[in-house]
Amino acid sequence: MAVEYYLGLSAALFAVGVFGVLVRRNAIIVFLCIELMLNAVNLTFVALSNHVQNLDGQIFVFFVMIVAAAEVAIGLALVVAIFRSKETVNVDEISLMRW
Amino acid sequence: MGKCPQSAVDAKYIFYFFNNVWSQSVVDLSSWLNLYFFVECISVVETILFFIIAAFALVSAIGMVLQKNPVYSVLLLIVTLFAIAGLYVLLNASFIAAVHMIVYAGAIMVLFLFVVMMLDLREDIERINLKSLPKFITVSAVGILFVEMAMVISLSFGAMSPLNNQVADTPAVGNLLFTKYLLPFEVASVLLLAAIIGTVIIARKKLVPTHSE
Repeated sequence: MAVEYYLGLSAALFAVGVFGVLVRRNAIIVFLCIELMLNAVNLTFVALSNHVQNLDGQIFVFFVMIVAAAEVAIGLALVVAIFRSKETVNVDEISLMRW
Repeated sequence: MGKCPQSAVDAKYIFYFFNNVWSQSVVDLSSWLNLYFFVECISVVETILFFIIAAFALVSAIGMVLQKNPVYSVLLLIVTLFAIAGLYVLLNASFIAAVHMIVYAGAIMVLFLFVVMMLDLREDIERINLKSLPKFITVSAVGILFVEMAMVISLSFGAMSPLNNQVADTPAVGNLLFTKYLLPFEVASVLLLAAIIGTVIIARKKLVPTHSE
């Protein structure tokens, strides 16, 4: 399969993730859409690594997964802490810092 | 098979998937494909597999975004991750596919499910009204983003050429990880330690000080 099809699929998944981040009001769904965007970028890396026959793309995917795992852990801890104090995860209602 | 284009996928993975053993009677991939699929080239099988797996990924991603129940969203994202791991196998990245399944579907999504079920979120936390004007502007903006990415990709058709011929199996990835990328590897472990400490500090219950202290 030509690499452009993989890149096109990755662009479509990234666009779906962007749409989810902008539209959804639930903080956990927003996190899931961020993970979807990260996976789309990982697919781009692996597809181009296969195309230029260089293994550095796969190594970078490895590190992106590590950073994504760390980010998810801390992000979900933040969501849990916010839920404990405000009893909601709706991002429209978490507006203490809004002017 | 002079007319069959070279496939990127190592053929033995597809062999092992469909036959459980590398049988001595069918040692040639083209004859095996002739026998079972009536096709001449493995790239046809690769194309069909790519479109099936890509359809799974796209449909489950769109379903994940549009679901009201957060548990269904997490499960649909797990299906998307399975599909992307299948695409990694098609792209000759078997180590990355295995690490992807273990880390994402095995750890991160389980953590999401734990948090969703612990917070006990209800389905009526929001109503997606796709008829309002801000949602329409968002959809059109995201559509423009996708069209722009597709234009950039289509303008570079055939512009990239292979640099060198590297074998993409697990020992090669491990060799690269421990020689050339050793410093990022060690820094990543420090990053994970920082993430663990941060998570424990942020998510713990604050102890209420008693008046006797």
